[in-house]
Amino acid sequence: MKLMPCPLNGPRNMSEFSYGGEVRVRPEPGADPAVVADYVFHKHNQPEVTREWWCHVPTSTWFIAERNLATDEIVRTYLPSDPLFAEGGTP
Amino acid sequence: MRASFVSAPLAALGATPTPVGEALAFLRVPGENAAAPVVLTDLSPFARTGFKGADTASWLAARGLDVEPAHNHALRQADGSLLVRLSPGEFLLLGVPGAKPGLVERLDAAWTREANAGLCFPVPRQDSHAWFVLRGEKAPALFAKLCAVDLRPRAFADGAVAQTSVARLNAIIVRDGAAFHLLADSASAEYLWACLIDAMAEFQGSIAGAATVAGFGGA
Amino acid sequence: MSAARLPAPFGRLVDRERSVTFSFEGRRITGLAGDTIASALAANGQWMLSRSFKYHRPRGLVSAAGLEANALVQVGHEPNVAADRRAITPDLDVRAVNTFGGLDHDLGRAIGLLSRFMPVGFYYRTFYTPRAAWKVWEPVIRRLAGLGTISPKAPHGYFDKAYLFADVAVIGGGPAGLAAALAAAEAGAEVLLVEDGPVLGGSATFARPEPNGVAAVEALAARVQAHPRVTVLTEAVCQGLFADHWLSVTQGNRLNKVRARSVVVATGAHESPAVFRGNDLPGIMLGSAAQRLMRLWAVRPGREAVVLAGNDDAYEVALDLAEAGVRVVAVADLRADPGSDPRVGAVRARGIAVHAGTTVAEALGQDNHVAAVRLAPVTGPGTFGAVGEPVACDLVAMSVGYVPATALLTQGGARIVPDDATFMPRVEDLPAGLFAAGSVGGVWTAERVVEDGTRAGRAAAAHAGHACPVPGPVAPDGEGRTWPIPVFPHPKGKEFIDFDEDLQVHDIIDAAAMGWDHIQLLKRFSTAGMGPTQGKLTNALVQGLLGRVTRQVAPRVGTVTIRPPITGEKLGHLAGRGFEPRRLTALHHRHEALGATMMVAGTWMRPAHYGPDLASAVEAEVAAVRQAVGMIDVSTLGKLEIRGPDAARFLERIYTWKYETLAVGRVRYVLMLDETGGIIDDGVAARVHAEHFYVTATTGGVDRVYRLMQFFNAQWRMKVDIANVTAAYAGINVLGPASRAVVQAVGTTVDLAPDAFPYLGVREGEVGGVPARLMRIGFGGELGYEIHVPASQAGALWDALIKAGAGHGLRPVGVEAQRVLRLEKGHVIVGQDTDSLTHPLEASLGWAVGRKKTDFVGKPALDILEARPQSRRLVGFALDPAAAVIPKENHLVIRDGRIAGRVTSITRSSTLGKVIGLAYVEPDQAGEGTVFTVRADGGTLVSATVVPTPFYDPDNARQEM
Repeated sequence: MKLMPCPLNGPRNMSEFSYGGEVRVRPEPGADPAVVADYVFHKHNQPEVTREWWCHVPTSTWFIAERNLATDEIVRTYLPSDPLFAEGGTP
Repeated sequence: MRASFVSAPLAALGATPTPVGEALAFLRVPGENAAAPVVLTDLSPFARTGFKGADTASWLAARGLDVEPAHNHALRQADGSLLVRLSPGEFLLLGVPGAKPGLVERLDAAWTREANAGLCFPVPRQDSHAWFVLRGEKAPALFAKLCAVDLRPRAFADGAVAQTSVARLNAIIVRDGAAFHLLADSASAEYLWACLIDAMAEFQGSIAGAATVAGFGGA
Repeated sequence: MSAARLPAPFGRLVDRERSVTFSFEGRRITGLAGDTIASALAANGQWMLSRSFKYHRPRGLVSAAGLEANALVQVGHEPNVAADRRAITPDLDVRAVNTFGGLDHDLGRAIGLLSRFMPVGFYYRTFYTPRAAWKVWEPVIRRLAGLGTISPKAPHGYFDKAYLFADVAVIGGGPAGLAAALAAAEAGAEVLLVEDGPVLGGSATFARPEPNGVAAVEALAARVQAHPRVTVLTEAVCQGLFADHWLSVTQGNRLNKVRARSVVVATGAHESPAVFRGNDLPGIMLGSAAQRLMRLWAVRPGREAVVLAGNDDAYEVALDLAEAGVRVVAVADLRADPGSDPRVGAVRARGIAVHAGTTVAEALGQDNHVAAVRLAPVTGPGTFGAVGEPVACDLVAMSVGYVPATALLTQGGARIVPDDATFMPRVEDLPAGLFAAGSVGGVWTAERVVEDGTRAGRAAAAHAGHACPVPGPVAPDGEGRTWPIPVFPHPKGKEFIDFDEDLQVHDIIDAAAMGWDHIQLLKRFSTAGMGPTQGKLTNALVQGLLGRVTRQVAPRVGTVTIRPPITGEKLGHLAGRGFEPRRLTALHHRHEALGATMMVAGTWMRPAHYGPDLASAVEAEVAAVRQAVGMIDVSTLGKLEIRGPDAARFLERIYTWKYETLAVGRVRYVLMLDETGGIIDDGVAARVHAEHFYVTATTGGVDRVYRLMQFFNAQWRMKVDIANVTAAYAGINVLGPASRAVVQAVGTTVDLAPDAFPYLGVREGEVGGVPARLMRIGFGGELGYEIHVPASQAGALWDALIKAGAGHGLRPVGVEAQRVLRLEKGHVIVGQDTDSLTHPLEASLGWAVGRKKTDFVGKPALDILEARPQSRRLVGFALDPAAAVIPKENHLVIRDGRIAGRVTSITRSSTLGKVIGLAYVEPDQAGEGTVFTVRADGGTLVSATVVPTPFYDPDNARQEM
């Protein structure tokens, strides 16, 4: 049972969390259909450190985890209010 | 009058509710042993409230409350209530069980839409959550059968708060001296009550009435 | 005391003062308290325990430690019991498995005669040609297969789970584990020590006291048990090591979920058998098994023994046997030079013949037990020379080598590599926080094992945050303990290399010759290592043989992965207490008191109907609502508070419609899409204040909606607060022409006059003295008030409404009737009338989409979908109630022999005297009056006609009164 370090509650069993997909930039209104379809259906999904949305279900806290998809190592986690989130470009 | 969320199981034990202020509470339970290795008590009818939003901490401080800077911590207030900071912007206030109106009632009356509290809004903790308290030296061992967070004294200090899953329910656990407050979905109260009773059988646990809780404020 | 019992100090686990009687195969057997089933049987001369899996050969103890399926028995209702680990209790009913007519007279013995016709993997190529052959063979195979019986009458056990927390978890209570536990505890760590046997000490519990430092180990065990920071679990098995040092440990009927900061694996090594013709006879066992029988249970393992040696430990076995009164006829030492270790000298000094460079070529049996062996000189790896005359014996003790029990280490991510110096795999690449101690890590001699355990314990404590000086590594010293691949193929076969699966040497050789020459392929084709003990005793031998046969070394041949569980968990362990949350509304017990038939609705319980008969109850409840007044508990409805300066703007970005211009006191439908443009939820938004909306969602969807709202606002960062208050408020829907009168009668501060409180309005006030929000919405199609009150005060209000409504014919109304009421109005239920692809235009919900809005969740996708020609439409239909067959939900719409759609909702409407429903049809079938065909039960085609919705009160006059 893997541990996920929740930025608010500390390390907790993975069963307390729900996965919310890769952090992506939403297309602007009026974007090309191909861009919209890519955003909705495709995933980047490479064996590298990837920013992902996760939710701590008991507190409904959404946060970002940077996870290595090849090794499953969680590098760091932070809240969306953390400057680290904006650094990566807000969706 | 506020009914308990576990009236039916308590009535089945032969207990009858008594009005205590606005609360229709079970003060005594036949066969109760408040000195048992683990003791379960329902405090659901007693006053509690909650507020959340980015401006909540300052609104509460402006009302004279002692606000804990760290989240996932609880701080006792002057009137005996327990102010629990769940997150930087979310607070839960557990009143002293009893008839005497205290901080909970004062804050609920103080908040109005016109009061311009900024981003600070009331949360109906009185009805959204059931409130149980567990006491006794075996309480951490009982929790270990239902909950993945280490609640032993060396890992979970007085005033510590855990927001986690208990018997597959989202729950809030607050350590208050030797006791643990447990709050979870009110609709699941009877289910959780049954899980707790099953888990405490191993420790010869006992169900006791609210009058056995330290600091109980009577009628 | 039987002649087979040894005197003290042998038998440290048995109490000679207390005998225990049980039955085996219907015979009474008397053992001693502390005996296992197997040791008690052995003491009574019963050495055959089972019949083998395929050939029904007699089988007995090999390890006496639960490492072979030979010792599996059925105890009463319980299958899969390891007789060599289960303690006897009075009146156990023990039976052998895999026999027809009992162990002694097993009719299955005849199968052994057919072994020629059962080459490895034969079942892949037989039994199904011709196809009909399988029908004949299947019942036969079902009867023949399986080791044990599952009884439907087995009483339920109480199983549960508990968490355990530790700084350092030490797995294995032998010398290395004890030293590690003590060292970690003394460094300040909280230690959990897990030992699978009944007492601490590991191999020191049955080994010869010197040179194994047994006294020192016993002293160590006492110190460990006395230490306040050490928790010891005995008869506890660590079944697996998972991510972040989470371990599952079964003890009795409990599954312990252990979370540790660091883990020391000190699981030791399994002694390994030799493979020669007849090696599966009862009485042929590991040297350690003989020592266990003697030292733990005071059982003399035989009268005349031959010891097969591949190391010096075998000589300790020989000395132990001699001192226990067993005549050691000979020691056959595989090594050309047994060396000059004092133990070898001591054996020779007793006059015991030692034959260097010699193996057992064949074992001969009589009366289901070994009776003699034939020795032969070793001429090369796996080959022997001229076979000698039979040497009488009733015990063969094999001490030829070991396999480190590395399973937990590999599960933790360590690598196992072959070691040509020791012929035992070596552990490499231990990840941070995982430590190996003792023989599992290659350290064997007594004092160095303790030193190694201390090192590992300190290192583990330091990793867990208790700083302490950590000694350097202890060099491995396992050379000479294991003879490489003691497998001696015999021209006449019957050399068993996997007891559980009844595999002989030639089965492995033949499989490799067929091309299954990688261990992973060989394992699956031959089933080697796939039996109940997962090949713990024999995987290394199979791998070694494969390597020898293919002339490859182990890395090419591959390694087998030992996955959790290590010994096997019961399904009860995994199920535990089975927590299934069940939510009750505040009115639950009142529904039960009113005779409601309750139903499960997601995690909630709701009243389906009141009274025992569904059809008549639904008809009466619908009629009450249409003609008088009904009362529905809608407490399970999702409820959200959306508050703050950006509340309206937030709703506009989440939902499809417009809310900025919604007046205070007004209610509007909400529709939510996902980013593919599909409908995911709906409800209403009631604006109770400029900056406060009370929004409802479906019972099953609210948690997801709430989580999505938080998700989006985490990115949009609008000044809005979202709260999920579903359980805080009970909802009572008072519905019907007399509803206004009833609410008035119960007393309310809200002005209920139609112009003061019109349809689609929301008001706050008190009803029956309880603070309430009232909404007038249209789900049921009648005048009605949906009253939301705090859950703890709902019961009182319900009681008051029942009383006030008595004079107006008020009936409680359940979920089934509510579904009819809403269908009569043509309302869509998200998830029933919509699927994950349904977008608003398909469901005639385009009116709920704000066309001038620039953005909301799903808009980009919706724009694309709406620009395309539609593929289906949801329409209302009616059909003749006298039709012979009435279709059901999800019955298909058939057009020209192909599927053109499906029925999503359908019901008999007594109000309308018709059968009505909703269905997806093709766009050109959507016109009013179109007739389409539905295929009902039995393939009957039924005609339906498209009619406009609402079916009932199309002008909505009744709900807007």
